[in-house]
Amino acid sequence: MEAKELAAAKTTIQRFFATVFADEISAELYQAMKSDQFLMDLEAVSQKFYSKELAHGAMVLFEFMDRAGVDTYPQLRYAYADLFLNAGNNPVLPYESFYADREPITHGESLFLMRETLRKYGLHKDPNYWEPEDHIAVEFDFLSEMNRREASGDRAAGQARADFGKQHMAWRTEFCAVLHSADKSGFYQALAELTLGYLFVAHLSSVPPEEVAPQQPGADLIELARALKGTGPGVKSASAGEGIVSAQAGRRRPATFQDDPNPLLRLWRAVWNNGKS
Amino acid sequence: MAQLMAYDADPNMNWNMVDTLGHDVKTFSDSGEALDYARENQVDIALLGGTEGIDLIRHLREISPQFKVVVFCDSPKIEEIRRALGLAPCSVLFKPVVVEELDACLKRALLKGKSTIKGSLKL
Repeated sequence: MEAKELAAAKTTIQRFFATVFADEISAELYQAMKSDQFLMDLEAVSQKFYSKELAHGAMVLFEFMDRAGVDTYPQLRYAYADLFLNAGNNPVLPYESFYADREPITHGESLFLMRETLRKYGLHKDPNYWEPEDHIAVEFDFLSEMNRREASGDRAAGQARADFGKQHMAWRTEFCAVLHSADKSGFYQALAELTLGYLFVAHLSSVPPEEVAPQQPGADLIELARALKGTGPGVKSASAGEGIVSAQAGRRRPATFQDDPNPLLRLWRAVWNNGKS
Repeated sequence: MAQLMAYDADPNMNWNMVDTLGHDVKTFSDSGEALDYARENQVDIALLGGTEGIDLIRHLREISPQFKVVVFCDSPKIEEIRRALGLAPCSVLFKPVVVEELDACLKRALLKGKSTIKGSLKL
């Protein structure tokens, strides 16, 4: 298995997680996840995984989507609002600051570190996306972008992805447990289980193969990506207007980006002439 | 440099990488011996592996309610992670231990002082 193939698989998986945690599930994504093809693929891969935890996560999501009825879609939108938009009794905070700083606050040190990381790699959160940069969706999207670059042959991006993953994995594990505890719909519990299974398998893929044998984490991730590709039409970029806006309010950066591979991040394709903006 | 204690019921658990981070670490595979050591010595953070490690947290908190612990799970069973988080560890990480992950976790835990304990997670 080539490193590029694995990086491409992770791109797909992380884009999926970035999308489902970024906002209420879209009608397109819901239909894609409810399609016969996706359900068939998800059930099939859940029986192929070496990791029983990833298999469990995929099966729980399959079972939820398989039995979802006509009322399920609006219920999932309400569930997102209850959990992530503070509309319910037991909200879940999807921000690294809340977990990593160990204080019940948002906009902590992690947010500023995340902004610095994005700047370092020429990225920026879509200004039309209202959540801060240490939101779980933005972090997954950042990883997705780094994997996309690695799959294109950028080795430095691969190292950046690995370093980021090692520094930022712990809080996402805790987020999954808190989400699982808070959700009443079953959908976000299933996503929490699948995300946790993914984080574990991705962790195994980062250590020498002889330490995790007979597990084959790389093969598991490629299979999961194949299944999640079926949600492709639903995973769309949340496009913003022209131009790149600095994290520092009021500073605009000239930009000439032509495509938008990531839903929440923008590439700085132009040279930033500091002071000319 | 911190004084660490590492416990895992599996005697083959490899804690060698902790030494490379420049900390003093005493390792145990017997929970009774680990508890005795914690009672008689200054321990900044306890590294606890597996289900038995999670069980040990309550006993360590009897020694000190603010006892800092980092948990290493064998697998991502969400119920086990919820149980661990309910006991307010500094972090929950996966095995095998990745040295950079542990380093980042220990730095945060050591720097943040008393506020390291995660009491605010709703589980």
